[in-house]
Amino acid sequence: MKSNYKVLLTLFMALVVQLGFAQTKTITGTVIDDSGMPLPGVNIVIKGSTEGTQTNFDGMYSIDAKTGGTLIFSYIGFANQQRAIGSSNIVDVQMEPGEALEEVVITALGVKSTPRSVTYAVENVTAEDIENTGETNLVNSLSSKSAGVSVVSASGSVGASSNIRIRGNTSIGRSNSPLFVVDGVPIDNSTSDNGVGGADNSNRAIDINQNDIASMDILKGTAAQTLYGLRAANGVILITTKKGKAGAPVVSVSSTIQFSMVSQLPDLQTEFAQGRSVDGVTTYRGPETGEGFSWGPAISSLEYDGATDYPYSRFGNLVPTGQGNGQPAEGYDHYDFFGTGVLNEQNVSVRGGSENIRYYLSGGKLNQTGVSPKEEFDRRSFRADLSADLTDKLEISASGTYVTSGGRRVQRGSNVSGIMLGLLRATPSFDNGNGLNGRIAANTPSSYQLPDGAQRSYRGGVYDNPYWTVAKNPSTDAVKRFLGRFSAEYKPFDWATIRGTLSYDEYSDVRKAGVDINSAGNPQGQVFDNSIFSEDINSQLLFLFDKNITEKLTFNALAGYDGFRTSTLNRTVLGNALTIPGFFHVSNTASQATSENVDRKQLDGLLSEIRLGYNETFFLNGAFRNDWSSTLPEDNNAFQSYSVGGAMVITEFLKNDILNYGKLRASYGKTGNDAPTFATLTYYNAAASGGDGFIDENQFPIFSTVAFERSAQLGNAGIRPEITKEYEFGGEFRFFDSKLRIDATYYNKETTDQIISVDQPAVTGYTSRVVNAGVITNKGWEIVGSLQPIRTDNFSWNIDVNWTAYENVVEELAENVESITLAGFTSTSSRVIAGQPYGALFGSRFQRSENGDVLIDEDGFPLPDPEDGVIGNPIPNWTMGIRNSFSYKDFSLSALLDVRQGGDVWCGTCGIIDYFGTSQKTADQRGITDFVFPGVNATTGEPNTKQVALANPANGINSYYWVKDAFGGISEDNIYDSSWIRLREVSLAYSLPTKLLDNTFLSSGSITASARNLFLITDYPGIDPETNLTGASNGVGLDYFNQPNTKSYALTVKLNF
Amino acid sequence: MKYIESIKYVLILILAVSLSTSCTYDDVNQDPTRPGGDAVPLVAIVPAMQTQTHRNIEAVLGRYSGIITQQWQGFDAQQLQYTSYVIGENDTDNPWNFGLYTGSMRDAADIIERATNTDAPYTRGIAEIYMAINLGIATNMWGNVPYSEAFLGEENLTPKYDDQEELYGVIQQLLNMAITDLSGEDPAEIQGSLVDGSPADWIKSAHALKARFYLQQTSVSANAAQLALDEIALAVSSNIEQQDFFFENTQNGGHPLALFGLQRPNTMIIGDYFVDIMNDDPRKDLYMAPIDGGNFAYFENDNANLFWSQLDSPSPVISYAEVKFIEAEALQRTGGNALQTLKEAVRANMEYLGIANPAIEKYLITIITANIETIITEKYKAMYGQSSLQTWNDYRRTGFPTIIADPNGSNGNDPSGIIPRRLLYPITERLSNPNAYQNAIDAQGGHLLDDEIWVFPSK
Repeated sequence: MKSNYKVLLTLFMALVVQLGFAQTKTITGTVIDDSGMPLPGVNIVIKGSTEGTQTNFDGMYSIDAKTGGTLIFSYIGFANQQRAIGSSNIVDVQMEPGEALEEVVITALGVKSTPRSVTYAVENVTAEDIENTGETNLVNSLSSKSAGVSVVSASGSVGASSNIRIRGNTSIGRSNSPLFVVDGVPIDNSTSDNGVGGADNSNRAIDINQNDIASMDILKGTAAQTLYGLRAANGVILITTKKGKAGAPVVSVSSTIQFSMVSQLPDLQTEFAQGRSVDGVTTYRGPETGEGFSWGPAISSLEYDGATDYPYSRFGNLVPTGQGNGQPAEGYDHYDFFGTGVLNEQNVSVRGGSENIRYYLSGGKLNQTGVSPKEEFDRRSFRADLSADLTDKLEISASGTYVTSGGRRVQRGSNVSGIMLGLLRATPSFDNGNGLNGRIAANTPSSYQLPDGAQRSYRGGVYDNPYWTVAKNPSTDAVKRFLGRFSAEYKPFDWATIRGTLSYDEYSDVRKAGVDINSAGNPQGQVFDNSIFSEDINSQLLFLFDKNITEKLTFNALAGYDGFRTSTLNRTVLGNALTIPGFFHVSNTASQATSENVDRKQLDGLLSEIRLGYNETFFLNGAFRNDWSSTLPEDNNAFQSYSVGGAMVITEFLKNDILNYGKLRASYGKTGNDAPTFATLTYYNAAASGGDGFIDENQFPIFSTVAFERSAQLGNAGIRPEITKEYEFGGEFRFFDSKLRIDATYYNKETTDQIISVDQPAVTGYTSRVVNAGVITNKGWEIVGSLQPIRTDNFSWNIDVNWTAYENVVEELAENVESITLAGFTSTSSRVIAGQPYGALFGSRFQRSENGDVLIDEDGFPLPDPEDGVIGNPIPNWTMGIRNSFSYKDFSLSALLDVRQGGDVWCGTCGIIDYFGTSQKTADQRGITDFVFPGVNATTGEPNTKQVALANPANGINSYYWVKDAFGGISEDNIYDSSWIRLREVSLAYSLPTKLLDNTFLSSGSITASARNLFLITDYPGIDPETNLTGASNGVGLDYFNQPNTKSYALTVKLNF
Repeated sequence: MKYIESIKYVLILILAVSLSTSCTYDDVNQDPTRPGGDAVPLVAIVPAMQTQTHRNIEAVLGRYSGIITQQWQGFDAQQLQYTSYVIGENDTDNPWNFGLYTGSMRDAADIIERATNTDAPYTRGIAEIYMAINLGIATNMWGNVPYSEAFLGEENLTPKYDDQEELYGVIQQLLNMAITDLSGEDPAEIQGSLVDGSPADWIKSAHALKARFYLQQTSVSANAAQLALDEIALAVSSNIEQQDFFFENTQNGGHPLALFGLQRPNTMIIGDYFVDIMNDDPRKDLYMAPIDGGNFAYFENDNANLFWSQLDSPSPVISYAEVKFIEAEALQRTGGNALQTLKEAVRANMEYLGIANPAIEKYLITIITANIETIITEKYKAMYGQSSLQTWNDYRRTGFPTIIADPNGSNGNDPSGIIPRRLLYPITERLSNPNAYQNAIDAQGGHLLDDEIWVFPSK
């Protein structure tokens, strides 16, 4: 290994390192801080070269250098020190606190400020905060890390998208996802095709290799985002990547292996067989009947008959006990479908540089298999970041990242090929795996296929056997993405900087979904090809000024241009009816439908900002940006964003022993959102005859004929941008020498002139039109605190807490528009409704009296309301993240607890498994004959006392409580509070002690054991309630056969050379 | 302080430029993948109107009608729920919105307007016929529906619901205009039609449709039968003159019944009542196939015998058989002897389906009377697959065939549990056109499944 390392090192050295040869000697020494303590990790570089080293844990170093040269000592928070090399071989240094004693806050456009001067809430997430999350998706790594930031992952599928919101939702029609900015350049975090069915597709932030991230800063409020204008109406996540720094090359290698398994799953019964009431008698009805119910006789009353010609079971038909061969029927556990997913990740980086040229190179490789067989996600990334000082005044830098990502996705949701749909509906008397389970069953065709090629499933191929779907319905995606940036920074004077940046973010996403012959979704087979090409170009020219007007009065200003061009091309081909089984190519399909969509827009912005500070105590700033957007009507396409803010450091004149630092801040801002593309005109579309939610449209061209029809959406040439206005107040307080810190923020924002595609009565010839209407308000509290109860030389304990509570209310919508559907089904959906919380759950419900009692009919059952209504609020009352970190000598332990109080989720899955009789609930309750539904009699108004049987075979299957009202029951019955407490992350790290490393080539190293979702406590009866059927869309709180979430255990080794 | 001054000027300049100008983006905001209305010719809209109309006849509304009249029954999931009359305001959204008003009726209105502007009377005539068919479907399903104030876009965002009685007048008027338009000259000929037929053929279909809509009014108009008879004289007079729309043998262009069978397998099967009355009928094997468990499937993936559930099955504009059934009933109602006409109707249907003559003869011998019950029951068998909508209309009008309501049929949408008399207005109307919606419900005394519509009173 060691020799390998040397080869590698030599290679890197040859690339970037200039070696000196004359009169070299070894200098040693100790570096201490201002209090005399040894300072480990101080960078020591020979001036004018790239050679360097770091001090060890005891503050000692050793370096080979030439006489007459100069050593530069640098360490964050301390001023650089320079020492000439004379005759002595020992150079000891005491570092002095430097200007950068206080941490730096990165604000909009990458401007660095001191925390005390910032007039709005900014929260920093460090590389350490996200390094042991065990998450592949960067967005998930932010979960519970920051106040005001909520993250909900779509599911536990590998590569699944995640929904991230900062301070809730503001917009109805547009994305509410924040802007992701990497090193000053916005990147694409879009998602596509996360509908109620299909596979879980990724959000594109998944392409970011978290190992490349140095830190993240989260801009939450309007005032913080003003300089980003229209593009940042929903907050900004500023990502700063790791950079090269002057010094000897540091090679870091890390390797992680992680094992995942399903976490919570709904309880299924194994007591009752497939079947239903036939002529009033509970009867076994096997797979050959094609029937779906598990309302049959007790499995214990059945046995096999040993028939060898029966295709659905190797033991033969199920017959009543006594009529077969005596082999008792079995209740099968379908959850043995899930196995252990394995994640394997390797990263290598090398960083270093001379004084004038700095470099950072990294490569990462991640492979992840899921808990479902055949599920896989891969990511490979390569990144180079270079910067060079061409002169004292001119620095250029460039970075390039190339990423490939993608994998094989599994079917989920409302989809007869969905894994959970087929798995949870399957009757317990049928063995999905035919004696096998997990990956083995998925790789053995006899488990899911009959000898004649037909499907072996519990109801004869009406739903796919989960093993069939993972084997026969592959859905793959392959993303190739390039992100490039070029910047130049020129400082004509020490108080002025000109910075220009040009960047490019391009990707292709090639997807293919195959449905093999005899699949439930399409027995003739199908191929769906989808190619997405996306290109974003950003250009920016900034003038930055920084000069003090007087000794006490500081002045900063900024002015510039920001341009954005984006275009996406999306092409699809749907081919139906395969001839060769399993050959998923369009040439193998009998008919095809194609589509081509283009989305494009341009945005130009001029921006400016002024910041003033007085005596490091009072701060004032104002920012202004004007945007021109191509999506707005040509004659009126300018939009202004602005903000003002002030801050006051009260401890400058109120200093006392308890409160060592205190700051009050307030700000106000206005920003907005432009129109959706192409919304100003009414178009004609290629005709598609629909009007039937159960079958596919007849999509032209068909019949060898071209046809077009007018779009159902009426264009609006008078559309205006959405406007969001927000004020926030906050305070930051540090007590007891900063051992206790509290930062609290209250914000209140209102979005008006929402650009909404409103439903309009179809009888007007259009079903929707784009209008400006509606008001959404959003107010909330964000509290961040930290406490350091113990700090000794060897031991420290930190507690970090973030707490968020907000109200997100739709105050009004357009005239004659009562609701707008964000996502979901006709029966249950997430909507915006005037007077209700954003995303309110809407669906079927029971009739109620004026007092709110459920009305009960004469037969003793609750009466469904023929009119749907609001049935749940998906917004939690509050959320909290609590991190406890302990460190003792070389060990550190960190645990992140995630608490969510309130927030409704519709368990559509629950209603359906009750309907089919596969849920444990229906096994427990089907025998009840004296149930009294709470409520009042619909005619008399008296409390209901009528006893009913919940499932009386004499009245037929359609009389059963879980069957009678609707497929999946009444939505209201399946709304659950999703409150949870979970141990989101826990990690134990061991840093290799210096003594151990002294005689090796290693400079540092660590071994970390970590776990995710180690426990979850919730009353929600379905899967882990942190789930969302439609992924990163605006609709929330829907669970309909979503893929289950996972818990995982990981081991990571990191070594630095 | 000079730099401060200069910065000030830069900032003021930005502000001034910002507020005074707007940027030009040429065609960036025009979708290159979709044409504007000016570029689209009539020939490209007519196929959309026709395909959507025949889909309306055969797809979800057809399935509701067939399930309600027990030609089919649910076997799983939502279709099971529909079988016990759980058909609510959500279940009518799709056909109302995208099938009819922002579907085929929008296309028809668009064509009528364009054909008027470009002086294309034949094509306008076709659109008028299709508008009449669709308006007929809408009012059959829902009673009062918008028409006079519909299709105006932003000009009228809350169209009122017209009385059903007026709508029956509008339908006849549309068909009269179609006949006039198709009787004149049009050098451009019929543009874009996917259904074969000369203007003369379309005129015959228009008369046949007039007869259908007259006959629908037998419960509310004393001379309905006579008016229907008058139209029959000018209507489609043979299977050859019958105009059929053909879906194609691809999933993309397939017939809705076959698509439903393929894409929603085993969720709907043949109704028990229908199985029973089709015993000893030579059409049985063309309608259904036995499956395990004693039931009959209406669709099987590789069963080419099933006439109405092939991907390329036809959908008649109006069938010759239906014309003869209308004639038989009208004759019976006006005091004539309908037996021969009834037999001709059954023969027309069987010949159309390809039944051999001996089997037809054998069956016709069993028809010995022609009263309303035998006529409608025979029509019920003949209309299977081609238009269950008409079967439900006939049931509501005459009470035949004598089917029995589902025993679990009582629910919030159908409190009395009777065989449904109409559909609920869709939820989008309640939410986006609330006043007109409420007025329509008030005017008709309700809109639940057991509330009657004007044209089909139960007594």
